[in-house]
Amino acid sequence: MGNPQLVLLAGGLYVVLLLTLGLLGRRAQPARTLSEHFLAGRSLGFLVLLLTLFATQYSGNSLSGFPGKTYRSGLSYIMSVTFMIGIVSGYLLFVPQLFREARRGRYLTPTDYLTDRFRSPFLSYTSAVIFAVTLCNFLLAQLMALGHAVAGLTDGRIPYAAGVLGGMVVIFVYEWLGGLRAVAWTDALQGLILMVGLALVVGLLMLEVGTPAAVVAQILEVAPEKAANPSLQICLTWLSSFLLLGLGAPLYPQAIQRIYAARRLVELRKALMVMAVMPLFAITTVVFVGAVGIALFPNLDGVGSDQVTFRVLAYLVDVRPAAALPVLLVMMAVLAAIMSTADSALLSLSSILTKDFAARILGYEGSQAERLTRLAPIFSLAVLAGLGSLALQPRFTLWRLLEIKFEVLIQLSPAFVLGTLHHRGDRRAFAARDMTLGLVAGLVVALSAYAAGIRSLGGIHPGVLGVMVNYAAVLASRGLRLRGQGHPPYDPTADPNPTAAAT
Amino acid sequence: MPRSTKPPEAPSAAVVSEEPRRHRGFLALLALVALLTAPLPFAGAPLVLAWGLPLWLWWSLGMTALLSAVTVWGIVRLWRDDGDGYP
Repeated sequence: MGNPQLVLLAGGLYVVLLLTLGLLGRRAQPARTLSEHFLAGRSLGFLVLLLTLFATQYSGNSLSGFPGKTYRSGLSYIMSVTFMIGIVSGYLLFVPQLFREARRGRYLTPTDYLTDRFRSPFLSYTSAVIFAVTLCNFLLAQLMALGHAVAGLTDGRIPYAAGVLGGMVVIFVYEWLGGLRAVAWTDALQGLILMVGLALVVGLLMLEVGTPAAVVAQILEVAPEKAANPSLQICLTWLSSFLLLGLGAPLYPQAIQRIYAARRLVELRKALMVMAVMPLFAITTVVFVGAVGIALFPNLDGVGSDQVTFRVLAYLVDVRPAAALPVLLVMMAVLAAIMSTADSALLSLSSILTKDFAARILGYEGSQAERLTRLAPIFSLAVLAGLGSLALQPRFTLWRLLEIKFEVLIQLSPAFVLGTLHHRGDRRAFAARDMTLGLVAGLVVALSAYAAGIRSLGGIHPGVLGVMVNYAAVLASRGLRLRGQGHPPYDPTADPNPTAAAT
Repeated sequence: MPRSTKPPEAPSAAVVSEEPRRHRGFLALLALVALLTAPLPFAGAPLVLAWGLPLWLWWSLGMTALLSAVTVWGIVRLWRDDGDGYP
C-alpha cells in the first residue's frame, strides 16, 4: 500500500523518534528506583497522562479489530462507543479512593493495594497471577498484530517474524532506557498520531465514499440485515459488554499504574473527563470504517473481514492517489496503537514480576525492594523471549486459554470496588475471607461456563454471570459475619462510629 | 508472602470526602442511562430511518452522549479530594 521507500523511511524515522524519547526519559530520571522506573516518579501531568491513557486504552485491536467486528455484526457494534465510555464510568467506582490509598501506601502495582488492604497471601498471589495472565494475553496479541502490521505496511518486504522481533527490540530498548517516563512519552507521540490518523480517516472517507447517511443507504442495498433494528439478544449482549468492560477494563494493571503515576488529582480528573468524551469521536470513526467496509466489500469471509480497515484504506489510495500520504499516517497510527499497548503491558508485567513475585518471595520490603530495580529489565527480556517465541509459532491451545482474560480479570472487581468502600477499621469493612469466597465462586462460574464451551448465555458473557455470583457471595459472606457478631443488618446511611460522633 | 506489621488505622468519623460513587442518585442515573443506551425499545420492530440513519442508531448515540455527559458531570461536580475519603 503506497510507496515502499516512503513507508520504510517513515517507519525508520518513527523508530528513531521512539529511541530518542527513551534516551530523554533516561536523562530525566533523578534516580534508578522502582518508583521512578515503573511510575515515572508519580510525575505525569495532564497532557501526557491523557495521551498515555488514550494510547493504552485504544490498542491496535480498536483500530483494526473493531471495524472487523462492525463488518460482521453490522451497525449494532456502535455498542463499542458505549462500552468504551463505560470504562471511564467504571473508574469512578473505585479510582478516587484508590488514588488516595496509593499516595498513602506508595503502591507500585495493583496487587500492592490488595496486599495492604486485605493482608491475605492467597488474594495477593491469586490477583498477581490473574494480572500477569491478562498482561501476557495482551502482549502476545500485540506482538502478533505488530508482525502482521509491519508485513502489511511494507508489502511483505519486512516479513512477519522480522516485524515481531524488530518491534520487540525497539520496545525493550526504550522501555529499559526510560521506564514509564519513556513509555508515557512515546505513548503521547503515539496518541497524537492516532488522533490525527483518525481525523484523516473520517475526512477522506466522507470525501470519497460519502456521509454516514449515504453509507447506510448503500448498506441497506447490499446487506440490509446489518442496519436492521438489533434483536433482544443483541441488546442483552450490549448491556453485558457494558458491564464486562465497565467493571473489567479499569482493572487493567497498566491503567491502574497510570492512576498511581498521576502527579496530582486535579490532573487525573481532567484526563478522565476528556477520556469520557473521546469515544464519541474516536470509536464512532472506527465503527464508520467498518460500515464503509460493508458498503464497499459486502462479501468478505471471516479472515477478510479482519482486514477490512486495510482494504478500505487501499480503496482510498486506489481512487485518490493523493490520499497515499494521509493513509500512510493512518497505517502508522495502527502501528503506534499496537506498540503503545505492547510497551505498557510489558512494563506493567515486568513490575508485577519484580514487585509481586520476586520481592515477596525473597522477603524484600520497602527500600529493600529497590535492590531489584536492576532485575526489572531482565524480567522484561525474559517475558519478551517467551512471548516472542509463542508469537513466532502460535500455539492454538494456549491462545484459547489466554482468550479468557476479561472473564477472569473482572472477578477482581469486588476487591477494588467494595474494598475501597470502607475504612479497614470500620466494622462494615469487607474482609479477606469475603473477597476470597467471592473470587473463588466467580472464577468457578466463569471458568466452568467457558470450559463447557459456553461463550454467551442468551447474550450474557460467562464472566458477567461469574461477577454477579462473586458480588452476591461477597455481600452474603459479610452479612453473615456481621450478623454472627451481633451487628444489625447493613445500613449504608448509618453512622459508622456512633461513639466518636457522641463524644 | 510476609504480612505487614503496620497496625490497622482507626476509623475516622470527622472528615467526609466526596466521590461520585457515594451519591446514590448519581449511580442510579448512570445505571439508568447505561441501560437506555441499548436500543431495547426498538428490538424486533421494523426499521425506521430519520435523516438517513436508523432511528435506533440516533437513540443509542444520543443516550451514549448522555452517558458521557453524566460521567463528566460526576467527575466535575462530585469528586473532591478532601480528607481520607471514607465516610
